[in-house]
Amino acid sequence: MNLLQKAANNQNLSPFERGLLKFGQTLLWTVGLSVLPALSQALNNPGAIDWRVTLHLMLFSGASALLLGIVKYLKAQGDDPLLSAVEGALEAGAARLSAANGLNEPVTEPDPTPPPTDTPAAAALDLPQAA
Amino acid sequence: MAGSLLPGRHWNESQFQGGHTALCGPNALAMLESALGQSYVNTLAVYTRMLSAKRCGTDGDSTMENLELQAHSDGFTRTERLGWNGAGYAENVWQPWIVTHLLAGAAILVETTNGQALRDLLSGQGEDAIGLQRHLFGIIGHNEGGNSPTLGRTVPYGFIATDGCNNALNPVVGGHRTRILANTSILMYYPLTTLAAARPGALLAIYPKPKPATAVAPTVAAAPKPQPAPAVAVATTTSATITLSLSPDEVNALQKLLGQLPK
Repeated sequence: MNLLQKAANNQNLSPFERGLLKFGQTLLWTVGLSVLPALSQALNNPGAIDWRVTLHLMLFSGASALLLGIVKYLKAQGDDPLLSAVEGALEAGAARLSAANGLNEPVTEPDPTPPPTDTPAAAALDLPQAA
Repeated sequence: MAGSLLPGRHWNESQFQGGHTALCGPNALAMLESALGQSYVNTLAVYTRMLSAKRCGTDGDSTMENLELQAHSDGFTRTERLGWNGAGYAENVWQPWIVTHLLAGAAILVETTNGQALRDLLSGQGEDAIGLQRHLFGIIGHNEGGNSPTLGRTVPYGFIATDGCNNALNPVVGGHRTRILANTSILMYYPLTTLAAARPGALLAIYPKPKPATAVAPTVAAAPKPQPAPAVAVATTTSATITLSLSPDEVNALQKLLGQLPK
């Protein structure tokens, strides 16, 4: 599972992962903004794009994204885990307490569906099935 | 063969009732109360009583201690308990304990630490569960090995049980799980080795309800001198319960007579 999937599933991310996510998000946003002047110049006066300024803007944008990513990484060091993780810890604690006191468990029943008698190989050969 | 079996009829039914998945405790207690009292007790009835007394969770989960309290509330006041041991008791502890109480006329409630190991010798069925550990079921007799007229076959040393989680009471018919309730012909037989693999972690011996003391008519050595009837009715300080079998007409006549008595 990649970083974006973990974030979408509200799973706990490490400080580094959270910093990396922030960097990526900010980079997309700032680089998008930094190309707007160049786009404007291209529309108003094609052929007169100042690529040096555009490159500088993109570099500043990248540096800003990196800075915000580092800040996020540092701030995430002291963050509490997500509520789902707390719930998980509580459930684990309750399970340990139940086991210590002999509280019986809820039963998980297996799937009642009987195993198929028609195997793919037999079906491919069109063999008669046993009753 | 040598062994033991509670006298009379024995009830057995699925623990999966009312959408609950942790009813093994109330189910086992209900089946043992049925056998001890020779009158069918429904699993959900025991569950309802336990829930209202806060002796089980909403899903039916309970402890041996709370099941003992419920047995007392239900009138089975004589019990003995071997408290919870999460590691499971040694066989030389639980085996003689169970047999001693069975021979004394008790039914046994067992809580396992590895319930998934239970497999019925008679039907060949295991538990309708995945990864079952702490599970409760009842034992109503034992066989020391040999031919069993009750079971209709030769068996190794083992125990006659009621287990609502066993697949024999939760058969799959046509691809669908079905439940058997209030059955008097299906019993489980767990050999000693099977029960050892299930590792009993708590035991409760439940004895039949104590018989009510019968009233003894006092013998009169000498005929007492007749006393004149008191002018005012005097409230007696003792009471006794008398059970009469009366027809509806007799009941009506008795009510009229009682209505004529001075208040």
